[in-house]
Amino acid sequence: MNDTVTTEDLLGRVRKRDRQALAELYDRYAPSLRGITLRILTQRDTADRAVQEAFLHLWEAVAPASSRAAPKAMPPASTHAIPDSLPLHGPQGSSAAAWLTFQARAAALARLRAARGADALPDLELNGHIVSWLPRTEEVELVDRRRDLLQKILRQLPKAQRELLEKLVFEGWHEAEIAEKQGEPLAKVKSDVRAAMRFLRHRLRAVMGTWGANI
Amino acid sequence: MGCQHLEELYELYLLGALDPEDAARVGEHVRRQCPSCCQGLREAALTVYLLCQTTTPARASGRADTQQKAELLRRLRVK
Repeated sequence: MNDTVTTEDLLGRVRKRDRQALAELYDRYAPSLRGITLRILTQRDTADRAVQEAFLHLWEAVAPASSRAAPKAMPPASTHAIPDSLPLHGPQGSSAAAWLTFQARAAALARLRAARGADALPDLELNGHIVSWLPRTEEVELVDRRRDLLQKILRQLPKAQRELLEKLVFEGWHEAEIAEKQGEPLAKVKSDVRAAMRFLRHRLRAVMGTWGANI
Repeated sequence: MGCQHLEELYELYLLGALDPEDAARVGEHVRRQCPSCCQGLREAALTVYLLCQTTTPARASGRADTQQKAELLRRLRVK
């Protein structure tokens, strides 16, 4: 793997249907994505398939419209398709790392929820909108350098709230399912979940400033 | 922008953890590209990204990695 080649360069080559460039992106991002899908699915073979699906979505997403496969050819986990106009490169470019992370998580959770007979998580209807909120590359690089902070902040949460976040992020339960599973009122679960998120949000802002404000 | 009432929902929206009613409230703002909500969602997306990245990267062995990559490229050819 040549680390001097930027992700933006590789994406540009992928856009031109360069398979080797996709393989290089795979080398770069597969380990962290596999960490996520393995945490969700626990089985290495299915975790690897979910990682592959994230890259297959990327291949489709950056394709020129003329060479893009019909939408029905996409696996059902694709709720985060990139529109033609996504500026994947350049100073305003959206982060491929973040995009792949969302895709890999969605692919893994789709498998997990299907295996337990649950409906797919809600379709976020993000086609065409993801550009508006997907973090920029430089924002992701900034937070990547401070991952240790989140670990410290998470340890400050009450154990019950940490476990709730685990259920939401890696086990694919939504609030109503957690309430039912735990035999608790939905209002209580919502209150606990939102308190945990509020704590995270405020602590992260406090230690890093409003995201992107100084980038 | 009058979207403060949605601030608590952005991370959960991105996680797919909201009930349909709450998800629809955020989704409506997303669909009309509400600037306040898009900024809030971008901040939330970084938090969600960080939460996902609390996992330990899992490297495949050399042989398994080669096989996985070959499988990916094979699936590309099928598409």
